[in-house]
Amino acid sequence: MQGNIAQNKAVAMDIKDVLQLTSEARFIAGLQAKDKEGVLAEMADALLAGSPITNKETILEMLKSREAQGSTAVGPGVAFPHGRTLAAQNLIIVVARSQAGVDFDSMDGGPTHLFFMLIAPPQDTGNQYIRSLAVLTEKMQDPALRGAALQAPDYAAFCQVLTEGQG
Amino acid sequence: MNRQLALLVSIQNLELQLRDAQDEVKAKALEAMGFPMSVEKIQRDIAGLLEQIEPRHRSYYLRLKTRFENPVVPVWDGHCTGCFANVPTAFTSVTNVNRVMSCESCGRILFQP
Repeated sequence: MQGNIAQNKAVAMDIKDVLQLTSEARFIAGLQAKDKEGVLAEMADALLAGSPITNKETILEMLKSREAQGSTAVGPGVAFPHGRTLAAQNLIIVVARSQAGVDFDSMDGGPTHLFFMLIAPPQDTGNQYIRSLAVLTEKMQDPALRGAALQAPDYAAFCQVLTEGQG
Repeated sequence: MNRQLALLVSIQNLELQLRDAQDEVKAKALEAMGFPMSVEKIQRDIAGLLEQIEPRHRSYYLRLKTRFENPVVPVWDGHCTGCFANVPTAFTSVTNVNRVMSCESCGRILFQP
């Protein structure tokens, strides 16, 4: 019975659960980077801050090889660099924004302004990684929400924008 | 990190991608979100990286792969995360930075994450 409840809770994962996997320290309000490689490096730095992971190159190599499969900039103005790595012990999310936008090889050819980086461990209970990715990609389909997320003055406001309408 | 070790870690990370790509449910979910994964491309990438590994490391890695799903593992809190045996402190010594080291207990290739 308890197992079923836990399983149902995992199924019902929402944006609030996803935001638990990031933090203010892993939120870059304004990226300095001007290109794809720079964005990944800057976000990897935020990932390493306060994390037991020390090897940035391992993370970057994994992200680049994932990008080589096909760009993760799938939404209009939004990218979701992601992947599994041996170096991660649990799912970590880094969020970044660029007002100017960055060429991230997006599907529509336009600049990317919002970035959600998901770094997953080799195994994750309840398939949290793909569920989180699904929640974020769905959420970011709303153009009004994307605009508000980009304009939110700080991390708290950003989270509020994303959780709006959650009841 | 030693270049050979970095390549071995990259191969193992690609193996994780491959596992997701070969899992029908996960692959379909990722594809629906706009992240299609090509099993063939990942396998080609793995093969390409394997070619760059020195023969002695490559044969050791391939032998380990027949025994373990995770032949390359990180060291957390001084333990091999494959078998949880203690890893000698020499592992983190600067003199060993450029070496490919393996667990004395299970033989898995170790790296500092």
